[in-house]
Amino acid sequence: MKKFSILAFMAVLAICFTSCDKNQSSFDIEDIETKAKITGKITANTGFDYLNQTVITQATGVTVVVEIPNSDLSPNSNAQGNARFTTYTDNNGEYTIEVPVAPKGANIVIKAEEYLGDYTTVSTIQYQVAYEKVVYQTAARNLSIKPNEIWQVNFEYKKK
Amino acid sequence: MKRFFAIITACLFVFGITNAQSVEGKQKNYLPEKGEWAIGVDLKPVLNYVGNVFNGTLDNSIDYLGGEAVSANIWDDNIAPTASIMAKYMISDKVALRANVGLLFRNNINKYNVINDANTILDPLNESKLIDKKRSKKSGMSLMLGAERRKGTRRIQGVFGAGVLFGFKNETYVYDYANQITSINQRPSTGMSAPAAAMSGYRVTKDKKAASIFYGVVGSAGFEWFVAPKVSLGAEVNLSLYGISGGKSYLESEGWNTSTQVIETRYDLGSPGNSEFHFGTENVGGSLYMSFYF
Repeated sequence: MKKFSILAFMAVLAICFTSCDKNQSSFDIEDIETKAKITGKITANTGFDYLNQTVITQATGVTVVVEIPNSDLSPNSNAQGNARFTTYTDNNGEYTIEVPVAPKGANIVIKAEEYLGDYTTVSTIQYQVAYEKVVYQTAARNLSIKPNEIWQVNFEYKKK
Repeated sequence: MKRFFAIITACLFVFGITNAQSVEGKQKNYLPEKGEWAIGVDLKPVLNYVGNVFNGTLDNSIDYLGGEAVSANIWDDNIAPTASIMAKYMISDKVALRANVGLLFRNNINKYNVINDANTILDPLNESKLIDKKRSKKSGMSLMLGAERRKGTRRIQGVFGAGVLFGFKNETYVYDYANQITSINQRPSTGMSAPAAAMSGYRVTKDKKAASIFYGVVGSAGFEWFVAPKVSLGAEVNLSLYGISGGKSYLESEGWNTSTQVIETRYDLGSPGNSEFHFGTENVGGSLYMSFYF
């Protein structure tokens, strides 16, 4: 019994000395509770049909990237590099992403990444349809966002 | 009449003999004897104190009884123990073992208030503070062990000795920061000053100064004047021959590596270590001292 009491006392002491130091502060992205939401639809110009009309289709499974400068998330604005957040378009070509934004706001870059896909061409004389593999790209957008804002940003891919 | 003068002469003769014996006995009571110990203190602080009594010095006090430690004057960073204990043990009436020891062990924790970086974003009106800590550890020792031989039977004795020297010093500073480094807080706020890190944007977490050890031999020549039984005033000069081996110093720092996106710890070597050689006269323990034998 006495031995158990001694061991229990030592265990309590060990816990006291090894527990987290409450004097320390670790501020990271997860600690930022305020968010902004960005949503939109992404389409792609995938070529021409047999009537020589432009074909616009939904871009499904495309990667959407939001980059926020660490300095805009930093308490003293002296951090380098960017924080990167990603999402993907669904079967309708739509996406939604929530990103942390400090009360002072942030200047972000949102872009849809390039992908390799089929581009259709048709001969107006013979009405033949041909396919070729092309890289689709779209321009990035710069936004200045604040907490609790909701933005609608659409993209349209074009052949590179 | 002749008988009267003979008696007087005899009395004077007896008186002279007994007086000589008592003088000799008194001399012996003044001087140290086999088996006795002695503790010595440096007189310079006492003399300074007495002098300052007459010149209006404020905060006059006696410090550092015991004299200087070896090579205190060459350790520029001033961590060498500046007080030392002198001790002697009489193994015979003429020969004594002697030691001079200086010790310094010091641990300090300095605390500094610093803002909580998280509150800057999450709760700007919150003025609560965190605490940065600077821990300093200093240790040093100087040791002289030797023997001495006395010459003279009266109250002033010549004292000649020799011994070996050994000492070391060590100094480390550790910096504990309250605000941690993260990807978005790459240069957290701090309330204390630290040495500049080798890499820009990094902060020092440990400053390890070069540790040194010294070793050598010392000879001494001086005298002791027994002003009272078992109490002497002494003065001596030492001739020292010793070498100093210095260790390496380095800085440990941490910072955010923007290439690898992780917190990185660096070790930057400061000094590769120095070595020195000293030969000359200097004082180990009290150059002007008072000893008490018991």
